[in-house]
Amino acid sequence: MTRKPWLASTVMHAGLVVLAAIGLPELWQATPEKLPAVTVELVTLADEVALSEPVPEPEPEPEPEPKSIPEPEPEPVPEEPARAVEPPPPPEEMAAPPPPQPAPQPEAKPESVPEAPEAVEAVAAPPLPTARPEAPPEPQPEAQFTEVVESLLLDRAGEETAPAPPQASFADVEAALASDARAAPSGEETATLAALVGRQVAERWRVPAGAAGAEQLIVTIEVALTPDGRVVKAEVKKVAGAASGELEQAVREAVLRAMNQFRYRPFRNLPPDRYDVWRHMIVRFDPSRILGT
Amino acid sequence: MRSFRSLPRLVAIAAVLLFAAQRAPAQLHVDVVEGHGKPMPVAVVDFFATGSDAEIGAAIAGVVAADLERSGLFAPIDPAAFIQSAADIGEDGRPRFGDWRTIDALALVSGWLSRESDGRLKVSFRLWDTFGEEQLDGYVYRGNEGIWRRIAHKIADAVYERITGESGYFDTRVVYVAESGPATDRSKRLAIMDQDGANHRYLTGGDTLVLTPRFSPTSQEITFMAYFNRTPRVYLFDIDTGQREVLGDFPGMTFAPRFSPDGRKVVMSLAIGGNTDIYVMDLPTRWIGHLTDDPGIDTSPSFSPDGNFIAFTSDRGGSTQVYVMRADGSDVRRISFGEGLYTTPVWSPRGDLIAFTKQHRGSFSIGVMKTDGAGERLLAEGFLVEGPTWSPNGRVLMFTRETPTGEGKLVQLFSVDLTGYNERRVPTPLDGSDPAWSPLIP
Repeated sequence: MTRKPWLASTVMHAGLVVLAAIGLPELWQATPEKLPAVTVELVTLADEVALSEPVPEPEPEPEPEPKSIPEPEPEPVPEEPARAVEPPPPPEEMAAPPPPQPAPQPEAKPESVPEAPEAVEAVAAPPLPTARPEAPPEPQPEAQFTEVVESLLLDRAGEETAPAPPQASFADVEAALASDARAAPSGEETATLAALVGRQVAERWRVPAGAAGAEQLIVTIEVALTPDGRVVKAEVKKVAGAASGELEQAVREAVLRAMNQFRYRPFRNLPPDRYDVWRHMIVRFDPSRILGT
Repeated sequence: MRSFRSLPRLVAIAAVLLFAAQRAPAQLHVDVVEGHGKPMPVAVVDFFATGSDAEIGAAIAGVVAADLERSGLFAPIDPAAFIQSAADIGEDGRPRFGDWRTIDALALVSGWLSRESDGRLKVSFRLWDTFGEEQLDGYVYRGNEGIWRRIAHKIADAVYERITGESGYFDTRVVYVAESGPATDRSKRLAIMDQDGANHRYLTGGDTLVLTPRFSPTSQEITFMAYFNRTPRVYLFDIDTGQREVLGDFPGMTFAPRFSPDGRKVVMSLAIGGNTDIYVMDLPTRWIGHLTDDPGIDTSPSFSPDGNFIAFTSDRGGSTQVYVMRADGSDVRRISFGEGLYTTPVWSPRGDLIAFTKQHRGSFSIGVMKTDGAGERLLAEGFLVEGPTWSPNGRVLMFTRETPTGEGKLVQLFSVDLTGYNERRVPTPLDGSDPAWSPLIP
């Protein structure tokens, strides 16, 4: 049989691509969080009505304050892939200086509230769409492949910041296989981990108390974590229950607000050697027990 | 040995890789059934302005923060902790989100104030999610300098709506009865103020005794009752125009009428021929119709927000309880079955609850129940609490609380939200009773 190094390399690369396609869907799909539209509304307020005692004369009608219908902002460019590529920011519980914030792009002013033309200002001026800054470029296919390799290497226990080599060696693949070949988690182990995660999420989840129908809204999200317990992806997969669009949006965002805190303040006490068990999570937020039905 | 380069071995590795790839999406399933109800930390920076307008910019931020804090759902952070200022953020800039996360702000309100060429204020604000690093909302308001407080309330409403998903209630007013003087010669005047107690003024003089103002759900119009020649007279009063007209003299009436949801009818209880029943009046025609005809005392009617039902109290069953009927008077059914007496039912503008006053074992409570009477919850209790009125979003109740003192009593207005944990006194210059909460000011 002919021994050709290029054949081995080709097969192994093909394997890596297959692994990327099937095993790491959150990176392959690179589905961004849906960012809500930014709206701008121009409102002209009525003059204050001054009532004199004991109200002898009618006051002039206040100027109506028409509200215009907000228009959605153009869909912003997703930020998630950029987060996956960049090293996670340092935790902020410490007094360390804040992570460097990306400077606004000079050519794309952030969410500017646009000036209304004078002609429409006196009446209900239509809202104007705003531009969103910080448009990270879509990751190129090469970049995705690099991420895949990096994530594969991250599967190895205890290795958090492995660089992403353009080509993995066979030893790397073997190590990754060894990681995946570990014993499947027992029901007790997953229950313990789920309880550990659930407690920490509950500390950051503000239950929508008092909102009509909120107790029936169950939100399920998909979460991906780094080996040091940071959230790198939190995406709502399902909202069960009937509610107004505004309330559902608020409930979804309350859930994401809880999870986004773990981007900067990671989960505690997750066993690093069981990263393969907790790196993907489906988290279901059910307020019915707290709020009652 | 380099046998790993053999094709069979490679095939085996590829198979294992495929197997591993199938296993890779294994996900940990987590059920979160606990959470907390602590207020959300929010930073409200002084709205940037130049010159003397800087004071207005700071005052707007103060009103926004106070509104949000009073709701019980937000905890404004002490501005002394702020690292970044509004000027630093800029009108069109993005905040340094890390600076705000450092002080635990989950949301940030930044604002900008400037003058139009005609001297009017132009106030813009942005609401930011500091952990999601995105703008949630942004609006511009324009108006005369004298209404900067209303602009601030509207900003607070926008923040509240965006975070809670429910409409706000800060740009509203409250009409109530201002009381003063000894119990034997009590002066009762109609007064109006913003929901936070600001812009207080009197609507009537002290020469007439006024009672039970009720807001129209659709306009800045109220009904109230005043004694004229010792006879209860009901007035219809437009707060915006100051126009006042008499709906009629109604001997034996104890509460002013309440409006229907469309504002075209009022429903009331009248004592005619020794029997107190529920009546409805069509406002344009002044036609009055009979809704109940029972030997018991039927009183305190209140429409459901869809106009299809009316809640009222009746002692037809032996004790005063809450009943619900269709708006045409049919299908009467009792919904309160707890111990004690139930009075003054008020249907929530949201439609899901009915507020009531409960008297049991010598003390009073303000509570809510579902429209079928289930799920009763008492939100406030005291020596005498009564007369609940709903905020227009159905999240907060305002009511009268009487507290005995050495010489007499304190009569004050209080508010409590649906959780029952956020009870606040509503400041009034004199004693206050019988509050009526306005709809959102258009």
